[in-house]
Amino acid sequence: MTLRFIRPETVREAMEVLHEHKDNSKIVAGATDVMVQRRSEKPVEEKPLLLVDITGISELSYVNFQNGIVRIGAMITHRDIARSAVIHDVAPFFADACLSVGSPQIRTRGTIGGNIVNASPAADSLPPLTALSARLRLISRRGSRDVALCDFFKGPYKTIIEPDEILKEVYFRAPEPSSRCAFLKLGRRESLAIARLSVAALIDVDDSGKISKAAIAPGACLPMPARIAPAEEALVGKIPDEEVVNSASQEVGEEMVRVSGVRWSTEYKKPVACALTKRAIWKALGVDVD
Amino acid sequence: MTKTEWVGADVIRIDAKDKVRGVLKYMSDLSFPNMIYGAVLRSKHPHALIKKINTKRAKELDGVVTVLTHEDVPGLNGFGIAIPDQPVLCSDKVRYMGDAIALVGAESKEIAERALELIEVEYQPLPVVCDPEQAMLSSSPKVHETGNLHNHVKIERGNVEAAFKEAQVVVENTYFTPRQMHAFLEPESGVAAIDEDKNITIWCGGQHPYRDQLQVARALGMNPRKIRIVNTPTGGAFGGKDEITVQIHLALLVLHTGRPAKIVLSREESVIAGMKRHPMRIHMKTAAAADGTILANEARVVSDTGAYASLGGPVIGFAIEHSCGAYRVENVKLEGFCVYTNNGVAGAFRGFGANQVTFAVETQLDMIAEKLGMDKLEIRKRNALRSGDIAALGHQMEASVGLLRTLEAAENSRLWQLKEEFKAKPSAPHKKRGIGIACSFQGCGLGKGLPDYGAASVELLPNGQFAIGVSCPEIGQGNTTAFAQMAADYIRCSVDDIVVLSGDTGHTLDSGTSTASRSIYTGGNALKHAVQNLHNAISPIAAEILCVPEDDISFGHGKIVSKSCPDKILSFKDIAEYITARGLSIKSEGHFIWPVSETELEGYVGIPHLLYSYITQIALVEVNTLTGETEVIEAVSVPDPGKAINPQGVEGQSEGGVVMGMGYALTEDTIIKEGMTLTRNFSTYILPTSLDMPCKIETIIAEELEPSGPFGAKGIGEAVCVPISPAITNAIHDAVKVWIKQIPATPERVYTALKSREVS
Repeated sequence: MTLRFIRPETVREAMEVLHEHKDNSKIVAGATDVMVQRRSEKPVEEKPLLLVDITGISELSYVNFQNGIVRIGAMITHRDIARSAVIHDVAPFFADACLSVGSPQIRTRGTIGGNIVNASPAADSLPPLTALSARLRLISRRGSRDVALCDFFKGPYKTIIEPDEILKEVYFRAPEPSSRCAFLKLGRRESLAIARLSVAALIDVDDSGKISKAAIAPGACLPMPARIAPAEEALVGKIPDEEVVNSASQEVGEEMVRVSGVRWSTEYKKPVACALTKRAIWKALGVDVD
Repeated sequence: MTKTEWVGADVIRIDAKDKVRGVLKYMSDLSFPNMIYGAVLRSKHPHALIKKINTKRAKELDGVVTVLTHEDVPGLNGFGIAIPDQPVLCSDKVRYMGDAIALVGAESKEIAERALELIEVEYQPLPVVCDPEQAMLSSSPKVHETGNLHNHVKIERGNVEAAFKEAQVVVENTYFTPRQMHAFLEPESGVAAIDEDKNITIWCGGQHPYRDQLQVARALGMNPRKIRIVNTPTGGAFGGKDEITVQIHLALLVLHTGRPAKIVLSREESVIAGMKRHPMRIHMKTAAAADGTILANEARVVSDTGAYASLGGPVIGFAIEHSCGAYRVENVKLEGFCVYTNNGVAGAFRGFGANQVTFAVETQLDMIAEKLGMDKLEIRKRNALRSGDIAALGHQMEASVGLLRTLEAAENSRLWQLKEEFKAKPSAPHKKRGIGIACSFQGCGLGKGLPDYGAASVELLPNGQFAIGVSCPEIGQGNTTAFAQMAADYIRCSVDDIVVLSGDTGHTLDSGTSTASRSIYTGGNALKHAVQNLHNAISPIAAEILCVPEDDISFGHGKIVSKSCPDKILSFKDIAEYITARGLSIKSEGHFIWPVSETELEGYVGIPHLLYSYITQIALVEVNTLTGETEVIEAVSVPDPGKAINPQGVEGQSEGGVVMGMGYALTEDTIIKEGMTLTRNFSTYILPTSLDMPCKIETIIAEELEPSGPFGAKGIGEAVCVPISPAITNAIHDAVKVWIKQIPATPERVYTALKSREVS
């Protein structure tokens, strides 16, 4: 036997299983990545892998909005988020990002928890969550801990989650009602497209017309999700005009090269990252560019 | 011609309901009791000598029924449509990553796959031959002992040098085209069974059951009569199942185990081992006079056929035949090279070499038009082949020529008439719109020098219906429905009374391939003869029943009527009952041999053709100047299929062809580096999805009836995917003024071209 499969129905049950099998288990949270990965893995006879499917745990499927905090259970699917009234209300760019994931089939199977823990640099949900300064709650039999999303990742497909831990939820403070946001994605086609580049922008403008808050988080061009502080600094305190937006956008391209180095694709990706950021910022500011 | 009742009507496809409901069983859906599962061990190196193969450990694995190697191939260890240079199971050398070395039959698919890992193969790697230009040098390592140049075609007419001197405009460019994948939904797969007398039946997607039968028989050293091949229904082929895929492996498994067997390639295996479109490097120099008349065309085409020949030889010939487009060109110097490398394998693919050269010549034509300040449609009209003209290879256009008709219909289309309006309204300021046009022609049939024939059968069934048989398989294009429509009009009965047998050596006569835009023309003509024979057999019986002379019998609207006494009427059911009661049956055959061009090109087979279908296509695109992305907004497709037997079927072909040609122009390429395939599945090989399709594809059918065709039909399966690619790249130029010389025109390529234009 090379593979075993278990489908716990409660968080407690799942934590017990993971505790017992922490050296040879893998969580299945929709299987849209796990199944693909398993095809290229060699089965190990001596240590059959235990797949722990947590999609049947109803305790992990919720979207709550209380006291200004939005909490999303890990087993909420991309489709759920794309259709959630709460998300559309407080962070529509997060709904847009989830709607751009794969295809209807993938959005119906794939979960937000799976997308986060898989830690693909091209994950569509991560740029908006990063811009929202989201935090994660991890639980295990040993207890629970909360971490900032940006501290969760160690590199592409690498996170700090322990083998016995489950991602319970992702949560974030709802942005000010006055703030505006946008998510733009560049893929190789309209559907079933892995992001080649994406940008999430969350911007608030004060009564004087100056940008009071800005969060800029690109996707698919950094090893792990991050906000681009120099880009945000170029915006905050300014009245947005062509020059301000251009210089902020330029910072995203610069940061990409600083972090990821010059690659064969840089000649294309750098200017296009700037262009995409520029459009995302203008779109967030309410200037329709498409 | 008498008015037709079914031909020309949108008869619902006879397989539509079962396909839509998911009821229809494709070959990979079939299973038998006691069936084993086959898996193929592929090469670990793109180019290597095999030193040793050890299957001992695999054979010992629980659940493994058999492990076969080259030693277990009883007949010729080779296959290939043109020359059998591809081993069934390699013995001494591998030439690409898809080469088969061993074959496992096991109780389950999982066990078969585990057993593959236990087979030990010792290789001695050889230098990898990746570049077809380098491969032609004498210093290159050899993929085959005979050398890396598989086929060389050279055609010269007139004096190109003199024409280049006197020309007003000369354009000279090098073009590159990608390794497009057929991407059929059903990967190469099938099942087989063997009976006590060692008769083997193979159910497997394919395009020519009788040639599959021959190739299997040859490898097994068996009488072909003991092998039955069933190809219908095939879940998509596009040329990629013309060659042997899993048929011989299935036959070996059942022969050695006596048990039924099944093989289904995974998508990754299909990508690595299966056929592709030949990537070509095309250098082209074209000259024109001040009025736009093309004076000369010189082309040098290098085609990468990969590890084995398959149809690489005929493809380069076809490319050369079509390299001047559907235009009159008096001075030509055309040279083609088909070269072996370790880059996968290339073979037949919808368009058969026309796609590559059409991209080049249609771009050249737009460049000339621009230099001369001419309208893009006008320059094509000026040079379009007309009936009786001499085409590029020096052969006369003897059959129907519909290019002008398609150009005129394209000119009157809404998109062309309102093109400035369409272009004026891009969806964003940083997006630019453009409209492009391109034409092509497509040789139908196998061409001069290759045996090209068809046969069909018609049988009156006891219930008064008819069973017709044509072996050209249904590969999704709808030919079975078209056969039923043509048969119904020939017989003069209802299309609902026709039962079609297709693609089965056990029940149909050999009608050749479902390739080369040939099955409607071939099957239709064979059916015409078969029905004449059927009528000749029915007439005396009807005359006997009605007590009238035989020449008084006529056929019409499902009835047999006395001409002199119209109230003397019989139904086909009356005839069926009459003969059944007497223990008789009526089954007739019709045979047909393709007419060929009078021109003979010494040393070449497959060129030229006699019959061509013609097409003009238009694309409206929007280019994002910030990202280089191109979106095809609308397309117009104007094919000349001769008579459209089923107009809705032609529209279906046309729309599918536009999308396939769009993928070729914008996104699709199987990338192979150092012999290793990098784009192994559909996450990295970028096929267009339904959301990427143009919002609108308008098909305008421009029928130029072909006198030798059934009801005037030619063929249209291939041409529909050809000129749309350069129509799109020409539209990109119209939008942003950059010439695309390498497809696919990915965002990176378009963006880079845009930037270099800004710099210069």
